[in-house]
Amino acid sequence: MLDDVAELRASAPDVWRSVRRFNTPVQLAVGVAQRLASSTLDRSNADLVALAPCQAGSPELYRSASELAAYDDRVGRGFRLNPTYTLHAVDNLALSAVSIAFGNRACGMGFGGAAGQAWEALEWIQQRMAEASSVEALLFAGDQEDSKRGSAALGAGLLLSNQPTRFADTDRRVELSGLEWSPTAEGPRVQPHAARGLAELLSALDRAELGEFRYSVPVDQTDGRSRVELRGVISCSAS
Amino acid sequence: MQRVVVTGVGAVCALGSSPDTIWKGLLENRSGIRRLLELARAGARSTAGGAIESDPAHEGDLDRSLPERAIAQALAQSEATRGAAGLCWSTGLDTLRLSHGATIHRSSGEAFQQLAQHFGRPRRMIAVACASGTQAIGEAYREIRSGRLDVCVAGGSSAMLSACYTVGFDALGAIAVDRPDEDPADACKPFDRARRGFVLGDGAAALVLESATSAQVRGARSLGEIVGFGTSQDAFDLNRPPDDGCGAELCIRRTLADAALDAAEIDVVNAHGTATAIGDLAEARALARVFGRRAPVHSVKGALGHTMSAAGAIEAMVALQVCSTGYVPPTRNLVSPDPRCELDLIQQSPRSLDVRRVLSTSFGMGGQNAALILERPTR
Repeated sequence: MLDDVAELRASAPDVWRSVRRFNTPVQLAVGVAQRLASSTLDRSNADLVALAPCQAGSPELYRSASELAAYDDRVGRGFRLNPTYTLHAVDNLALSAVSIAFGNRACGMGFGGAAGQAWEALEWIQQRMAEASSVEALLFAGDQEDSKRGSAALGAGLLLSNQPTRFADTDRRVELSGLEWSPTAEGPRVQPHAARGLAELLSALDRAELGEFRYSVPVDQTDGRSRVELRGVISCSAS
Repeated sequence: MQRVVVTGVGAVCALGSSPDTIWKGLLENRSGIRRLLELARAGARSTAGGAIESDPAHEGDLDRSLPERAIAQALAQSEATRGAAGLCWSTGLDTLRLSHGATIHRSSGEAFQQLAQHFGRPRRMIAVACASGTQAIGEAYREIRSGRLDVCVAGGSSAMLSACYTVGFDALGAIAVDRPDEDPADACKPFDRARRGFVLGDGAAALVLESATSAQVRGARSLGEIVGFGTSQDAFDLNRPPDDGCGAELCIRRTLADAALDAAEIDVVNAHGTATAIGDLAEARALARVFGRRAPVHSVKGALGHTMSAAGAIEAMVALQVCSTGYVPPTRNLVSPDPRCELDLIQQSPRSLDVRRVLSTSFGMGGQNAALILERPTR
């Protein structure tokens, strides 16, 4: 998890230079991927899986759009827009930036900024690993509460591997064995956020005891159509 | 592994409001591009666009209405139901339109969520820029081929034709800026030596993908088959591909490998062909290395504009028509081919060929690449 771009700025100045004009969610998503990259077997060959922000854009983009809406061509000046602001609306910016930073020409997959796509992405990764199409995958996201005001932003990510790997900096292993989807009738109100669902999952894994675990995704982090439950096993990495 | 057939198609774009009308327009070398008042009023340097005639009352709802129209057509033809089908779709970027001095902002994620609500699983929103439509179809193809799914609706939609995006893409150097005395319909010139960028277009296209077994059981007619899908990343630059098109070439070779086909077994290429100076040349170099001049190449973007996240899906629909009829539409506005594009480019009028397979390519900004191979239905 990451909520400040300072780490990326300090740890990877070259990467920071390439993303410094992007909006904060993209910077945080790239920062998370950069942090996780040190644990990969080969960052240039891992699957890169990005979740686009549900709250895309930036205050600068919407301010420019408002100025453009108010612009009257009869003034005859010709409207000018900083091209960087247009990029703030682009859905695959973090994926592209990470691919470039890692020199990764392998599999890149971008999921859009709709509610619950994090779990679709996890399932997608699990399927690729089950069919031996992938050895490891970096899943990363950044999002913000309100793109027009540029309020609090959060990045989160996971490194998934089919090799025995420690969970974060602990002596534990987390093995994800499946995702179960069941239809929900009540249609809960969702709060689309690309990173929050992953962040809450990471916190739950931190707190979980050794042994089998089941994690029910909070309904506001689903797509509103299904309940989602993750199943797995947490063990000591030495065992 | 399951064979994957297409049992329904639907499409809406500036050239027509159904696959048949779009196809007819392409064969007649017509254009859906015109000058747009909204762009002129905003002082945009490019005022051409592939707009869709729609009820003004629903102008702000294009992000919802376009995919609905395309999907409804495809499902009607297939006679499949939403509840029995998964959905792999791209609704593109957020809507940013100007209306009466204000900005209309609508989230593409919310558009997807609404669209997906009556579908089964998976419900995947794909976001890889201009490659999204192709990748959405490819992901659905993989799901069905693996046996995890019987039926999936796949494709993409885009409602980005607005002053905000036009001015923005102009600032990035990607748009064909107006020229005095030039018909806006002539602005986008893929692979031409005078090309200077693309023209934005709105649109949507949907394909119903289905396992051959499921289609047979349901008695659904196959319109064609998807036999290969591949992707790659340029890992080069956010705004341009490498000059030699090596990322595109990697994508094409992976697609051929996925289909277990040689380059010689591809009869036609439906190119991404956006008419940007660098993009077309990079793609041409990649295609030339893989196919030489053996496979004829065409692009439809001169006629209907660049429909972004819908482009790959519209072009897959066109590729199916090419496979089933043997006619390849010309590349509109390609008058004087760039000599550096060493390809057999189709100009001016349709070409009649014995076509079994078409490769359709999409190369997204930021370096996300995807391609499909489509095959004519088994007779």
